[in-house]
Amino acid sequence: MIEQAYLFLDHMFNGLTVGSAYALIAIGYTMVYGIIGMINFAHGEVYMMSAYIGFLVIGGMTMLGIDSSLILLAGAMLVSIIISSVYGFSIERVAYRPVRGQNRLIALITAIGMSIFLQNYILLGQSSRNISMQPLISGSWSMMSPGGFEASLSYMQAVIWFVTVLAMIGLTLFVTKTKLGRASRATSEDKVMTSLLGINTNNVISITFVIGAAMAAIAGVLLGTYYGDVSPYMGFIMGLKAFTAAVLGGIGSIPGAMLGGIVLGMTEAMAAGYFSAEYKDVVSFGLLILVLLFRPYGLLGKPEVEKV
Amino acid sequence: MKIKLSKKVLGLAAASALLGSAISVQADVKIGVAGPFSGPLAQFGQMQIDGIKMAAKHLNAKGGLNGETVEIVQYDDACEPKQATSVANQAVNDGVMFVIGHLCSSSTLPASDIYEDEGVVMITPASTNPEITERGYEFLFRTVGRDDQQGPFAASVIASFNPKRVAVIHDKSAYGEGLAAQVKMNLDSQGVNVVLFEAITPNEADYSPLITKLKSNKIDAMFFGGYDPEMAKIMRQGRDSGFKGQFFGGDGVSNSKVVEGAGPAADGLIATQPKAFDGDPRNAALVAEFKAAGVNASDTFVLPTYAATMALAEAIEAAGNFDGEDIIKALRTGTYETAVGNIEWDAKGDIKGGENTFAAYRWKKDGSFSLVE
Repeated sequence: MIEQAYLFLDHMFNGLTVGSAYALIAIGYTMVYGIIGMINFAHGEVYMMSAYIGFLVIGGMTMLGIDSSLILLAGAMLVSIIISSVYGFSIERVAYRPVRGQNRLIALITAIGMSIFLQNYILLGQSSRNISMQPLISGSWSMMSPGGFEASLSYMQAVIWFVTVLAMIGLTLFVTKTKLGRASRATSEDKVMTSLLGINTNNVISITFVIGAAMAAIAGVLLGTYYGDVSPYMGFIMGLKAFTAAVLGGIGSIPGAMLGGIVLGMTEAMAAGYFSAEYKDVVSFGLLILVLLFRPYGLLGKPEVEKV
Repeated sequence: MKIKLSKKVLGLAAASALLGSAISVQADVKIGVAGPFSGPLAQFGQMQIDGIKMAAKHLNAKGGLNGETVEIVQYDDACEPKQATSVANQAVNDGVMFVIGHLCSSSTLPASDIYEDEGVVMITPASTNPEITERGYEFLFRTVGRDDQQGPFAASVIASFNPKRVAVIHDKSAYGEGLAAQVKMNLDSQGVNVVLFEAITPNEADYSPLITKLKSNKIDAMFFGGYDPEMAKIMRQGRDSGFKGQFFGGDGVSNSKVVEGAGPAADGLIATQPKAFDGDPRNAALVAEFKAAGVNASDTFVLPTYAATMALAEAIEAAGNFDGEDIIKALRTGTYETAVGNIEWDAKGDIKGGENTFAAYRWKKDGSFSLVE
C-alpha cells in the first residue's frame, strides 16, 4: 500500500510537470478564442520558436562566460518572452487583423498557413536537425520507500512548477485587478459595445496575443532546457495537446485552461504509468470525448447562450 | 484555337524535357544516396553523405566508372516509409541505376520494392532488419549484419553483466521493434529475467512515465531498440530521477549525438554496432583524409557507406558495363576488399559471416567510446 503511494507520487510529479506546460500554452489558445473567437493554430509554433530563442540566448551567454544556471535560465526566459511577444504581436497584425470580421474559416486557414510558415522559417534558419543542450540544473530530491522504490522530484521539475504558478498568479492578477485586464474581459464579452465605450479593442486584442506568446515563451524555455532538445517539429504536437487542454477546461476560460492542462498532463502520466505508454494518447483523448459528451462547454466553460 | 496552341506548346516542352533528361543520363553515371538528411535522424544521413562524397572523389580521381564521371544525387527520406517510396520513385525517374541506402530499415523495406521492380542496384550500409533480405530480392545487398545476428550478440553482452531484472524497450519502428524482439528472445533463452517489454512513442519529449516504471520494477539493465534521440532523453530523464540501472542499445543509438543529447547521463552506455574500422592500420590513410575534410571516420556509417560505394564501383568495373543483371552477378561472385573488411555476399544479399561483424562499445560523457571486451 505504502509502496503504491510512493509510486503514485512519482507519477503525479511527472504529470504535473507536463501539465504545467500544457496549461501555460493552453492559456494562449483560450484567451485568443475568448476574445475574437478564433483558434490560433500558429500558437504551437510560437512555443517552438521561444524554445529556440532560449537555446540561442543560453548559448550566447555561456560564450560570454556566464555559468550560473539560474542567471542563464532567467536571462533566456526574459529575452525569449520579449522576442516571442514581438512575434505574437506581429502575427496578429500581419496575418489575423486583415481578415478579422470575415468568415471564421478564413482566419482558421490563415492560422494554419502561419503555422506552416513559421515552422519552415525555423527549418531554414536553424536547420532541420534537433539541437541538444546539456542539462542546466541537474539533481533531485528523493524519498526512498520502505520497499526500496525511490520517488524523486528533480530540481528542474520544481523550477517548472514554481515558475508556472508564478505566471498563473501574475496573469490572474492582471486580468482581475488591472484596467487593461478589465478592458480585455469587456472586449471578450461584447467587442462592439466595448469600443463604443471608448476602449481601443484593437489594442486589447494585440495585448491578448502578446500575453499568450509570453506564456508560451515561458513554457518553451522551461521545457526546452528540461528536456534539453529542440526541433522545428516540436510545436505541432505540443500545440495540439495544449489545444486539447483548452477545450477540456472550457475554451475561453482562463482558469479552465489552467485546470485542463493539469488534468490532461496527469491523465497522460497515469495512463502511461499504470497501463502502457502506447495508450496514453488513447486515454487522454478518450477523456476529452467523455467530458465533451457530458459537458460540451468543457470543465469550467460557460454554456453559450443563444442571443436573440 | 488558343487552347489547342497551348497544348501543342506543352507537348513540345514535355518532349524536350524528356530529351534533356535522356541526354544527362548518358553524360555521367548517377549514384543515388538515400537516407535521412533532415529531421531528428539527420546526423546519420550526414554520415552517408560524408562517406559517399569521399568515395566519389576517389572514383573520379582515377577516371570515373567505365570512363564516365560519377555524380552523386541525394534523396532525403527523413526516415519515413512514405517519403522513402516517393524518393525511390523520384530516383527511378531521374535515371538513377545505383542507390547506396536507405538507412532506416523502415525506409529500406518499402523503397526496395520499387528498386527491385525497376532493376536498380541497391546496397544499404545500415539497415539491419532481417526481413529485408528474406523476400528473395535480387537487386538488394547490405554491408551490415542482420538483427537476428546483432540481437543474440547484444543479449550475450547484457547477460555478461549478470543483471537480475531487465527491461527491453523499443520505438515501434521496423528496426527498433525487430531488434528488441531478437534481444528479448535471446535473453529469455539464456535464462535472463526480462520483466518489462514495452514500446514508447518516438519524437516525444517526455519519457518520465517509463522511468517511473523502470524504477518501480527495480530494473537494473535496460536495452533500447531504437534511435539516439529517444535514447538520449530516456537516459537524461532516467538519471535525473534516480534510475541507476545500466543502459544498453543497438547501432541506432551508437553515435556521438547520443552524448550531446544526454550529457553526463550518457556515461557508461553500452551499445552494439558494426565493428568500427577507423582504427584498422589499413585504413590509416583514408581516415586521415576524412579528418582533413572535417569528417570523423569513427562515426558509425561513414566507412560502411564508403565501402558500399567502392564495392559497387568494383562490381561495375568487373561487369564492364552498366547493366544491372551483370553487376549483381559480379557482386555475388567476387570477394570485395573494402574499408570495413573483406565482404562476400550470399544469394540473399547478406554478407557472409555477418554474426562476427558486431562489436560492443562503451560511451563516455566526453563523446569518446571504447571497445567492450
